[in-house]
Amino acid sequence: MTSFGRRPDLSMQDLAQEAVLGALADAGLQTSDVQALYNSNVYGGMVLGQVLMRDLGITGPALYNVENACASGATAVHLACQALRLGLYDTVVVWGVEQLTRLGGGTIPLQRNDYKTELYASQGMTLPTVYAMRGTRYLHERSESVDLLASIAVKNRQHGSLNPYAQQRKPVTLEEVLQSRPVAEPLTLLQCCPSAVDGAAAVILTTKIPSSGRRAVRILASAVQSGHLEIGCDDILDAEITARTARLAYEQAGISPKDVDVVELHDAFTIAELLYYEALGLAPDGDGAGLLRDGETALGGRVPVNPSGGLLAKGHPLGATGVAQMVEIAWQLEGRAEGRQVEGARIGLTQCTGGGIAGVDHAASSVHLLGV
Amino acid sequence: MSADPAALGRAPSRAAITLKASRQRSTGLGVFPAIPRHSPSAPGFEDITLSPEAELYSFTVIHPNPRSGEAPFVLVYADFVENVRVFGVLDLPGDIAPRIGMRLRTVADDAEAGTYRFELVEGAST
Repeated sequence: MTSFGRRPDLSMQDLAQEAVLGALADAGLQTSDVQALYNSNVYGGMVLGQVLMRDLGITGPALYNVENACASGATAVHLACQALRLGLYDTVVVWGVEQLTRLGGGTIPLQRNDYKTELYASQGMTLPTVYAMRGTRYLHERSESVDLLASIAVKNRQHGSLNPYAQQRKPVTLEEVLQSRPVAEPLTLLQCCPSAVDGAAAVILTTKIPSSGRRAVRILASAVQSGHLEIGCDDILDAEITARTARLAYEQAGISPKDVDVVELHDAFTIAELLYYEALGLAPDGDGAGLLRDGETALGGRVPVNPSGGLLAKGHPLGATGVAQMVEIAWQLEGRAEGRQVEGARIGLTQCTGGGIAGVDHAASSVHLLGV
Repeated sequence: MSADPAALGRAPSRAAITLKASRQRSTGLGVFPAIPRHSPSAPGFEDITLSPEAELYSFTVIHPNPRSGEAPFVLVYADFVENVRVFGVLDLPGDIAPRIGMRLRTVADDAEAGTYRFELVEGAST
């Protein structure tokens, strides 16, 4: 994968090609070994994947362009897994790429493609708004303070300081998080993932025995779900789509949350990580805060969460995020995550849940379980 | 919640209105805005009119980038007794901060556009 950051000097072609060539070299493969290609992106436009691979000469095989909001990359991996299981191909490449700096920074724009999104966007709905509402309700119902939310940012930015691929590598204190500019109360700037970020990530998926001599990382489960219509007055602290997707993944793999050694989850905003602790079964309902306070999700804890720094430190180039999570977990399971290695990790989980707008309980969620 | 209440919103001054929504026939649950009548989905819903008042379920104070020069403003989820949740802007008097459980009323924003805002119900506990 490429490092994540502001890369105005590079084109999306540069980013995607760097990631794909890096993944092929890492696997000891040639471009001619690739039988199908999966491109994940949100804002790049029509037939982007073909444009990105054209000059590399990876042309001819089936190429699938995949968009599913923040879960685009994970969805692309899911589709590739299906094709491999069907025996359509034995070696494919999946990449995600995004160049958000081209959008000018600030809040990621909503797609005003239906009457409800149009109305709510005109009222001020943004992605930070959705999560801030959850944050307010969480603090109210659980009698917590803003310190709890800020602690997530402190943990993940500490992890990110150890990751050369992360956009923001400066550790921060609780006071710095709380005193950073308010964005959408209770969320401050350092509790929101950087939105002016570019990057790409790629993985090779194969049903062949790898020739590299390294431990093969296996995909034990791959689940994608879509959100239900938001109707009535439901509980916004219930991350239902994520819990549903995680249950499917655990069933597929035949394991339980207790078997997971390391997690990369979708911490676009601090409150999200707290909610996902419970949705993923890492903590019992109502005890996500305890998991954090006990240090169990920090490096050195029982189940480190976001050792890469997560979206909060690494940045969130939407189309690339889900694939980048896979790369991090693969490196963790292979023992290659220098400086931030979770010792002895054998099973890792990735989770992306995106599109939390416009009348569905998030548009898409994906959970993968990887193991060695 | 640390926003300066004096910087939030405008004084209440607008005409009360009621909002149109839809109730799903199969579940009895409501959804806002109303499902368009021309939609193929419409037969699964019936039109309803929401009560004039609602309860504040959650909120955030948005702080626009200082470079924009825009003042902070309050956004809320308001729950109606018809089992419908509505998102919108809340205007508060300068000395009052938003709080979960507040009683809100729906008022007209732009009559031509049919848009709405929320205000605090006069005399409601703060």
